[in-house]
Amino acid sequence: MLHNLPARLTRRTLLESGAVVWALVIVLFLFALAQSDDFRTAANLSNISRQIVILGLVAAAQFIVVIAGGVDLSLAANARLSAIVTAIVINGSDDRLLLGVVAGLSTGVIIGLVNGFIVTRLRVEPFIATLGTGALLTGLALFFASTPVGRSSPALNNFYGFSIGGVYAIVLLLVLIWIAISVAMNRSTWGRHLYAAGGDPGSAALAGINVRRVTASAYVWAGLLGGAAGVVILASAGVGDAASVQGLEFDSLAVVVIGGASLAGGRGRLIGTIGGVLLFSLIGNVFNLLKVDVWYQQLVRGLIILIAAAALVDRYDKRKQSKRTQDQEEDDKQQPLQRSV
Amino acid sequence: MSDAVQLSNITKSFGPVNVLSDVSISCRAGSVRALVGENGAGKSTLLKILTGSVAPDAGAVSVFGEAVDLEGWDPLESQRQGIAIVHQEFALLPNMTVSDNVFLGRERKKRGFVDRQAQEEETAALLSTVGCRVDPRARVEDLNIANAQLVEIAKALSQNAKVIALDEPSAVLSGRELETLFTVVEALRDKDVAVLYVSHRMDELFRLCDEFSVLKDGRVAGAGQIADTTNDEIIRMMVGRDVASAFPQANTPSDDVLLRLEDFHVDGLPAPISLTVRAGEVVGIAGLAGSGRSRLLKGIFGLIPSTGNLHLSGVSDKAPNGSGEAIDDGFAFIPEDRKQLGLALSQPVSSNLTLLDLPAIRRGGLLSKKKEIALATNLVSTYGIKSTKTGSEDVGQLSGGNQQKVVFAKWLQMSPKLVLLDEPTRGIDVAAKEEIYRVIRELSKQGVGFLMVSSELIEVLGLSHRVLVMVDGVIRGELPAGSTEEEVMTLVTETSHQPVGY
Repeated sequence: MLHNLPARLTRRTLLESGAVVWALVIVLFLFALAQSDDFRTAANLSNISRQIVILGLVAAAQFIVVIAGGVDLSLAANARLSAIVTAIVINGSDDRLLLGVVAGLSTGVIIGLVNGFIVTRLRVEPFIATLGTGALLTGLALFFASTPVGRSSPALNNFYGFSIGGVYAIVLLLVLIWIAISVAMNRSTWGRHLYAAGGDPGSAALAGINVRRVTASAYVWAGLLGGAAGVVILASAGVGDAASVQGLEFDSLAVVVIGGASLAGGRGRLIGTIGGVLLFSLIGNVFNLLKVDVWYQQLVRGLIILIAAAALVDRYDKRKQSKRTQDQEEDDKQQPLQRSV
Repeated sequence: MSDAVQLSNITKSFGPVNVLSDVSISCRAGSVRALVGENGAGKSTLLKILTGSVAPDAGAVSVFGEAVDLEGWDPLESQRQGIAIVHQEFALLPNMTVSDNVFLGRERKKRGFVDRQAQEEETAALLSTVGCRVDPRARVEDLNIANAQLVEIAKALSQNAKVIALDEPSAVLSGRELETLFTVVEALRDKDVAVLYVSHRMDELFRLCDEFSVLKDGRVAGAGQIADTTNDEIIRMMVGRDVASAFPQANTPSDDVLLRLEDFHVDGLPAPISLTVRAGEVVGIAGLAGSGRSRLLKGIFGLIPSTGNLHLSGVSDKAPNGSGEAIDDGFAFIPEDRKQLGLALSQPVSSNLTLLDLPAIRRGGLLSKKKEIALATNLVSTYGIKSTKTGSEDVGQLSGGNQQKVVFAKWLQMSPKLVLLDEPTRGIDVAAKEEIYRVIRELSKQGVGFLMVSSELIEVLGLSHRVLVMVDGVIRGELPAGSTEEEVMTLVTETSHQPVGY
């Protein structure tokens, strides 16, 4: 997307655009192609692509909230509960498939509305608010499904397994959703306002933006995506289970950070988050194929998060300096030509 | 001609504090009204009421003769009615591009999507009218203060407003930028825009404005035609007393050299610098924004790496390694931007005052609240800081002048030998300025040395024993006390047009 290219390429803008993560993804991909015969099989590749879908949806949801200056720790619980609701409603019958999907997505939207309300109206810090709702939802999930409940339906299973030449339909759907979000974030007024509200709510309000509404909308869209992830969880697991997809809370936030978005809000590109999703998923797959112990995976993921976070830190110091105090020297360096006239 | 905008009998309190009482002010289309007053006089609040971000307790606002409904009066509605404001505190989003900022909330659209290209083209055109040469796609955080200010003005222009309020637009501009600003304001007036112009710089008001209103302590202290008044009269209305001379009598510095720089090379400056400051001497550094003045001060304070000799009498032979060492050596640094670097705005005055000298308020290894309050109370009264007596309110609540006094008090409490001042009176009012001049003079009498950077030439000339003129990172000349503004400007402009050898 050419219009996304920053006017000046600096270390900061490189990190923020996710270029570094994508470079790592490509390196790891090429390494895996060279090192593992199992990796390059078509079956494995299309398998990885389908494993990405759940994290891909939840990470996109997290990304939207993070840009708005918040964080949603309830997304994984949201997805799990939505999966359970969908499972209970469908309960193995294709007749109730549509109803079930709508119920699952609605669950997500309602959770998003509640989060948005708590954060923007009750003014609870997003971290605490969503930690609370997340715990609540986990409790609800256990209440409904302490043992697996409900069932997916044949049509949903078929859709989940449907592929054309090794490309799963569900992966195509994910890519379409990503593109839609990316366009909305970059080219719609809603997206502009979201970046503004996340960057500096005070300035955004002075520009006439309804900060509370746009912030709340981020949680609602994230909730919807969480619900969608729930439907996919059900399709892949077959039953509603409160113990499914462990670690999703952690991973969704981690990939957003390594994708270059700032937890302070207003900075980052979805393409970076997508790079983070691919990187984490590739690490899992490659390490499994190379039969490396599981704990190495966690170690490497942890290191990547720390390195990414450290690499992103100094841009904030730099921001303060360049804007406020560095006088005009910085500026002169930017524009040597005009200066010498 | 009728009033484009009229605020009548506006009253506003924040809690128990009466900020505005019965203030009425109007602005005619095609004229520029100066709004002056000390910091804390209520100017900013008045502007916020005009633009809908603060609701008045009582009073009325009318635009082109029609009373507005104050219930629905918010920034968006005020924009719709044709009112634009250039904020003193930048209301730009650092994480977004210049053009995104200019059109924020009023995005140009094509087929439902934001039309970036159109926005960037329009922004480029607007920027050129305000003489700002930055890329519309640059991020605001990469701009310096002057350019950010010009972007703010471009943003206001883009709204095709019928009323434009400018809140101290000149505070961070100098030289050519200032001239451009004046041209822009004059062009607005010629286009029948009503301009409300807030500034502390008297010369501007007389050059630019047609009418004036003076606020003092939340009331209108005077208003009229600029042509019928004088500089002194306006100042008298602002402070409520005569200001004979802003600058206190100069002292004679001793012969002892306090600070000596030899071949002192600060990273990022083109050439090494040599200079001396004697005990009790105030050395001013004049020059345009961007000439490297701030960088030099930071180099001396050890915030930017340097090579070469720095000799501070009796203490050290090299530049301090970081601010901790600099403070131990006896340096103090009053930074250009107090809000970012000088103060913790959300902390009480007392904690800000005692931050540097924590050992003084320690008892048995822990910090003593009692000692902190005692020290803070002392400093609040010594420096005439207008806050609660014990400094219990947050610094962010104080006016700019009082915030700056807190910065001074906090550093001077450390009994420094040499004080580095970077724009010590930016954006503060006349009375607070005078108090700060008095403090500087007082300390220089006691033998403290000052190295002062200021864009206000009057201040540099009024306070300094010697004036160094810095151009493009090089000290191009030295002038004695009593030099005129013309002499300084000659030195600045003469040299800057010559090819510079780097």
